[in-house]
Amino acid sequence: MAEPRLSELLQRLTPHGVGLDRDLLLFEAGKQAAQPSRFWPTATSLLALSQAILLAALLWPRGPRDAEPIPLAVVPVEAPEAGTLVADLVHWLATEDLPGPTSRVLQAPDSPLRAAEGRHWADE
Amino acid sequence: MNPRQLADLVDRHGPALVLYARQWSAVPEDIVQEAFLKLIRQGKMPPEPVAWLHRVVRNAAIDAARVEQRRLRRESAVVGRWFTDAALEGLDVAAAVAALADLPVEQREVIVARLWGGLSFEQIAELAGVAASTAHRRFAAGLAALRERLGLPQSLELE
Repeated sequence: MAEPRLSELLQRLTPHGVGLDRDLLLFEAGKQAAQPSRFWPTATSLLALSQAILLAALLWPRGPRDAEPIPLAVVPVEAPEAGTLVADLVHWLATEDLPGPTSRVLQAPDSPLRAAEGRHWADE
Repeated sequence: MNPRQLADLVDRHGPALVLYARQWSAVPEDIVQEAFLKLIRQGKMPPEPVAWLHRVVRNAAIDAARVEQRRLRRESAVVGRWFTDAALEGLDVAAAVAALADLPVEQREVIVARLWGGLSFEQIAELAGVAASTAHRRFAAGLAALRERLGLPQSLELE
């Protein structure tokens, strides 16, 4: 029978590997293999972030807004007829020149209570 | 990473990796354990996991040896823990372990990685950072030294 080669003889020796913690390694591998889905944590984080941004936007102090000037439309109005009440009013608004107390505006032409000019009731 | 795949790696290559780490370090089990944990944390299996593990173990063991040089020398004298076998037909185990321990680390590394790690000379060469021919030469020289030290006949040819 042929003698085995030295390398074959040596290979028959079994290395000593007792110090390895096989259970811990398998536990770690299982933990790594069963990583939970990241969908829900990511979705929750995004929602929380959007809420925080919205809250900050609502509470942030703001200055007065520069509103857009509203264009005024000039509507041509017909001039009131001269001698009417409306014409007097327009005149007064423009000049603040109030008509006198004898104006027909304040006193009807046929009023029985007509004041006598230059005379006082006590003189009679 | 598939736990079953890892269990297979640990069972088939763990002891050989411990023996490989023992060439430099006094705490080879810790180093191999860390190498496996690194493999797990990496998530996916490298293309050549056994060679990858040997590389990680080698780097960590050499780093550890640099830190604990004094302790390494003391632990190296304890050669009885290298193998589980107390006796083997045709080989004096204690003398073989002592002879292995006396080899230069360059030769011992190649022999351990080749015989018990199952690596090719190309993989060993890449690990050690030498040419494949150099790795082969170290292997042959180491075996020759062992044969002489163990007093084995020359008929035990090398590979």
